[in-house]
Amino acid sequence: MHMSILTSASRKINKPLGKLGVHTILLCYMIIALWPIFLVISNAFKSRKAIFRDPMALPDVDSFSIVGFEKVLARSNFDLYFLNSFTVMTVSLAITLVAGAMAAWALSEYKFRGNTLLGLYLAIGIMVPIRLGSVSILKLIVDLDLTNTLTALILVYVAQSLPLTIFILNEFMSQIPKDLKEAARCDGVSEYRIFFQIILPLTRPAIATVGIFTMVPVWNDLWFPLILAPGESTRTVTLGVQQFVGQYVTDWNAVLASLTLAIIPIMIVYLIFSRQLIRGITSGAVK
Amino acid sequence: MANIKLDAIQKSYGTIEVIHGVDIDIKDGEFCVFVGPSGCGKSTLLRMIAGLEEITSGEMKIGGNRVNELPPADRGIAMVFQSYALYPHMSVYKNMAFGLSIKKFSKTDVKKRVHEAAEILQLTDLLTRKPAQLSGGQRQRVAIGRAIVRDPEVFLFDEPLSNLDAALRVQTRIEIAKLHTKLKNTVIYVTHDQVEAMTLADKIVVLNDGRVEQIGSPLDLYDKPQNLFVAGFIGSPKMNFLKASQTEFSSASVETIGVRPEHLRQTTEADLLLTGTADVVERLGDVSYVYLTTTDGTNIIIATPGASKVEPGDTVTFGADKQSLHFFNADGIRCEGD
Repeated sequence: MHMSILTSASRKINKPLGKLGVHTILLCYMIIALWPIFLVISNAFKSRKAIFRDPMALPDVDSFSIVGFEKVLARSNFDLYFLNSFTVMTVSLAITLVAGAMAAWALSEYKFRGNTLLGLYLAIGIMVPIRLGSVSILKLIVDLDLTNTLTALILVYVAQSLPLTIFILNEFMSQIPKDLKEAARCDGVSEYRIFFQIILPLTRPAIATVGIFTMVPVWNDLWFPLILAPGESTRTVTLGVQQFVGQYVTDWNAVLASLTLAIIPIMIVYLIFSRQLIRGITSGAVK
Repeated sequence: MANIKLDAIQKSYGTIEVIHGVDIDIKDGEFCVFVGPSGCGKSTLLRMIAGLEEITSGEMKIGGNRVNELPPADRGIAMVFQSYALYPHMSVYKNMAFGLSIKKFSKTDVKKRVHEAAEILQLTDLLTRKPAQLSGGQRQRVAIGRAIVRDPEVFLFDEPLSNLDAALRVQTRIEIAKLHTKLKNTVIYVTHDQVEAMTLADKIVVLNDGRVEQIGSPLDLYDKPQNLFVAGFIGSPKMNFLKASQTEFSSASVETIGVRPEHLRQTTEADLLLTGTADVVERLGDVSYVYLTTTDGTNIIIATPGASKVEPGDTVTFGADKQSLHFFNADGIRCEGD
């Protein structure tokens, strides 16, 4: 009796939207979100005139051109920029995940003086944008003699990503049943092995989530490469693109082509992580 | 040899004392059950023996050695958790082998031990499965298997059957009893279920509110409960309590009289005679429990034969002989009646 009332009530709540409605809204959102990317990619394959004549049109036989790609690959050190971006992203991701997971484990598992305070301090890091400290970061990097190095970027990105990583993983790890860790302790498993062989495998979906959250802003960042490592040898993709953007003339073919190329690596990394994410979710759900 | 000795064990969380000085002596090979209502400290006590909870004061000895400061792994214990605590990302085999590989056993040795344990617990066909693919009873057996492979001196069970359904609980209970006869290790078993305690134990420790109420064999506790708490806790249905002043056993020293439902019978001739009105009759087939209210308002349960003709509303005269009565003084402590 109660059940039927409940289900009919929840059905009524669901009805105004319905499946069609939900899908329409999601489709609209997807079009809005993907439209700029679509424009970038489709215009990257058009001649300069065609881009200005009809920016919305798809490339056809007349307007098709890969002059942008040729320019990017021939005229600039695009492979170097790529490598720089990729190095910075992967190294800072790796450091963030390892250090963040360990810190989260320590905060969630061990009770020590200042535990809560430390957690709060890290939470503040989520709220205050790191760019507010740009001037002092720049000063620090200059003092450390790290300007125009990838190390400078990596350090800053690790600092930027750690608070959220620790926050999310801390929440996740504190939900792992206490019995599991205690069973392992009874088995004589060392704390390091408990962390690496039990806790890490169980937090994989959370780590994948955090990985994506960390990686995308790092790849897309223009600000810190611009102020900390603008030298030719340490330019990242986002900074490299800027050489085609002039004060008076912008080489749109080259800009769009390099942006198109820049999507590829992050896409690959995202696919790797999102597969982990899905696997993690289903392996928990079958229980 | 793994006898266990708890000497004035205390546990406090901050200023709140939860275990108030417990002394228990468990002999090697004994099956000892800690029983008590929830929140009585029995699990805390077990976790202190395991080394998962610090001991505030007192001394704990396993096999004659002081273990207060030893980590769980060095105490020669293996624990089976209420939630089973299986590693969800490892197969049954790896779950059992994990602890052994840490202890640097050779591969062949690990394999041999795991297969032996799997044999005993009928898990051989399930070794490649993940815990998520097992039923509750199978998970329980894996958890026990993980304890067996380590060949510990002492097994610790923390309410291992409470997540199983009733039929499986009875079956697993018997398996645990068989296992103990076979392996002969010392076992400490925590439960809130007095039936489990009575059926499994060599020695029962009844705990209440962080204190030991009584230690003894199952029949000791049943026949000679030392106080009102134990008298009411052990036995199902519960023992009936009467005010001594309202019976012919009224005396200065005796405050309460206890009598078990199975010792009461419909009669007009007995040492203790009472009359009451039947409220409810529960017919279980072999026995019928009659719930009565006596003339002075006391609620009484009597066990009558299955074929009993008593109906709700009937007035029943019933009684028991003196040797089956339990007498308690004003402090609730057992005493002899006149």
